Amino acid sequence: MIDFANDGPLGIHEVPLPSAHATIGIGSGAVNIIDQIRLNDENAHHCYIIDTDEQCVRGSVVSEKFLLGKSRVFGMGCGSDRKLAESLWAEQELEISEMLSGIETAFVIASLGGGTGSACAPQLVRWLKKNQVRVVVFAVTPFRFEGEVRKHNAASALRQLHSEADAVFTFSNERGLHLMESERDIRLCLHEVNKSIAGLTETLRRMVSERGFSQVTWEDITGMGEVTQDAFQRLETTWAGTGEASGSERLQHVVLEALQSPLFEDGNAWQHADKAFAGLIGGSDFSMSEYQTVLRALKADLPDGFPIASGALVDPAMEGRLRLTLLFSSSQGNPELDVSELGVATEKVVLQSATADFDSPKQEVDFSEEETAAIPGKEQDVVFTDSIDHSGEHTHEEVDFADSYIEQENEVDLFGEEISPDSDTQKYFSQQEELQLEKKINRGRFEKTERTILNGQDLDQPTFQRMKVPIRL
Amino acid sequence: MFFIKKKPGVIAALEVGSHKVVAAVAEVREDGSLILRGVGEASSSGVRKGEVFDFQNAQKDISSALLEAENNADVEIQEVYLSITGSHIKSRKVRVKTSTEDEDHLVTEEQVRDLDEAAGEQAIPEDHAVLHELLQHYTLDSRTQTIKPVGLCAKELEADYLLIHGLQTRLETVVRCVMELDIQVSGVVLSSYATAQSFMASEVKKQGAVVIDLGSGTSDYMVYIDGAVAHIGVLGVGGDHLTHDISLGLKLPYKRSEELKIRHGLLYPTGIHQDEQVTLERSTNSEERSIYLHSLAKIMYLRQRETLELIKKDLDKLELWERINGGVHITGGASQVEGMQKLATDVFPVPVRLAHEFQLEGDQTYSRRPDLAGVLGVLRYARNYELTHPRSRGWSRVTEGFSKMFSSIGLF
Repeated sequence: MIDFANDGPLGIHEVPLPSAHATIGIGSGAVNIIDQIRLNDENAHHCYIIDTDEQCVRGSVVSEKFLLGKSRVFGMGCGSDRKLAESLWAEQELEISEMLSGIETAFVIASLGGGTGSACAPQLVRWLKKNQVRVVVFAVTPFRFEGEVRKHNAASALRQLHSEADAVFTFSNERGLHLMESERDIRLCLHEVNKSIAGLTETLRRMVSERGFSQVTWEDITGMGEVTQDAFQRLETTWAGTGEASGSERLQHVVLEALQSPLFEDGNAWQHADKAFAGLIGGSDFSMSEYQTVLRALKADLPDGFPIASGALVDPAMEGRLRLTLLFSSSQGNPELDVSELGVATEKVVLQSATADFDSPKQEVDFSEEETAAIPGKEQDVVFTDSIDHSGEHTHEEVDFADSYIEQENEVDLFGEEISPDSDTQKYFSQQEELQLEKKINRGRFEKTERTILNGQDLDQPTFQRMKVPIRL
Repeated sequence: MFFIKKKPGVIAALEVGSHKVVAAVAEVREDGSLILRGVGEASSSGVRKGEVFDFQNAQKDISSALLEAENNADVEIQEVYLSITGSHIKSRKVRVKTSTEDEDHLVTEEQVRDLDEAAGEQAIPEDHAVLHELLQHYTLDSRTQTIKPVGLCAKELEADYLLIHGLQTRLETVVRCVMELDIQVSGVVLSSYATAQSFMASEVKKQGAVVIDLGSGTSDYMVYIDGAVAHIGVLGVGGDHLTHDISLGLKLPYKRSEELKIRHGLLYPTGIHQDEQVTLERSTNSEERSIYLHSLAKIMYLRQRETLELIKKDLDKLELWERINGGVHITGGASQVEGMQKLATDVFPVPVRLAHEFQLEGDQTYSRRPDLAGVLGVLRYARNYELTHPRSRGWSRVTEGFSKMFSSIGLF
């Protein structure tokens, strides 16, 4: 009989191939995070970066790098031009796929807002999923002050990422603003945010890929990333922090340091989060009681029944030290960073502006009560049809063919039909299962073809579905 | 047999579309006029969005269309001019220049040829091949613009070209599809470029015009400024999407949706009561269904408006609307839906014309078929090409531009 000296990982420790569980950074901001991972661990050979900015790519300490579109943008980045970035990706997808071949699980860090991250992260995730790779995305969204284009880019990319990846954790750079350091040095502000995201990504990757004595499953991670539709247009759903300490009071210090993460700074995490994760990595001196104490402390501070996932890993290189990574995620996301609240078009309007521009901004703003009243309701069908001017001149109703799309939020559909819980049209709406975003999009005839993606939208999906226009059956 | 040696003025065109494959045969008379001899059509089952996704089915359909065209025209087709489309096709403007070295600064034909060659060598994505190298104009000493610089004096000669290029593998696939049927491909032409030839007078091109071909798999568009092609675009959305939307929105099988679109399709429910329905009769596989016309119009309107708006948005970037005095010309099968004129007029800031009739000599059956604009345009393109590039060594000769494109993909 064999006596086991220790519980926990037994037998031959299977070290996965570095490339099987990869961390991929896309976009300049993500490159900084990946560099942080690489600097924290010189053996982090699982890191890849992709960007269009040559300075950024050349300056990275990662060895597996890909400068996208060099022949077309000459390493100058793509200037927030998503269309350009998408075309660069399409041209070089084959080369990128060679670099990424063999990956089984991908932790994609995407900086959204610019062109490369926003446009290419969804393409990357799509390619990975097509190749049966498990994918979790850590998306970093821009500051509020960075302007409409960046927020729009981030919002569009997020929508796509949510529909493609197994889980998406969205972080906002905005948290960095609350740091005292941000008053002094912009680099410190971003560095602190990047450090937290790097710590989280690396911990989750290790928890999944290495054998720990309290294993984190893929389902644990995807469960943490589960969000509702509301969160699709919110630029923040996740907060994280990492602490590391040694010595006799390391437990206390490690918890304090993790909680001092800039992402927890202003209390948003506590206010909005509904799930938590704690990951502990220690050396051979890492004790069960330490693990238990941390989890108890965490549970004591959180509401009853608050779901907490946890994992623990023994790493000989961490001898005498302990590292704690905390993650809080919200199914709803942070409503303060809702793209519609930030002055960026809501999902519906984004769709509109990205596709049809059915209405000029002026018309949208000028949508007065008087005009609303003029839109025919259900009882006014005859008025509606009669109101079309056969002479060809624009009558009020004709112009409002387009306006009425905006009207949907005012409970009037495209063709002037009222949408209210009591109306018949509500019944039709609920019959339209395609309108429920949780369900997989039916690509029907285009199932075997390459998607037609333009301005962040899948044009193969019916327009009425993307615009959420109800159809009477 | 397509005894081209016995009938030297006969040309054939082939369009491999997403909805159907069409082959057309015409005779070029000595005066340059084109007489349509016959057309063959077959449903397409191997092509989506203008690109081949099922090689064998596509070949079968091509073969059927060619066979029908052969029967109707009473010739055997051995060579075709092929229309190409797909959203992978892009354009790039390039400018090349040279200086005149001799004392009198006379521009020579050799210099013009050198510029032409230099344009073709400009960088395009590595995996792309050039389809067309379209001259826009020459500029003499950064001032005077002309399209015939030979014999004029200038110290410096510049030429602006529009390179149209597409993914090599996709182009190769469709060409192979034809060639493996033992049919030679005499030339390839971008679908929208061909379409423009089918009805656009050179005067309108000089005025500045936009040509939009709303096909089944793609919507192709092209802008003419001062008689030269200034921009092209291919949107991977077409009439197929319209049918697909109807199918999902009204819960109908695809074929019934197509039938509904063709028979009752409309964009504006003008004069139609919101409860008015049309009935689709019971068929072998489907029950009788009643469809609200308002619902049909709503689905179709949203898709078509979006398509036109996307095209407009792309054209807006060029900031050329003030130079488009010849209007927007819309053709293609998907342009036949009722209300298209009104919708397009709403969307575009210049007058819109639906190009649904073509001047043809010969069989007039096809002169009012906008869905054939592409293939008829290929015939005109081929006619012009044959007239300006006389054959040197019979059918074995590969045209210069074509060989340039395919030498890179190893087909010749």
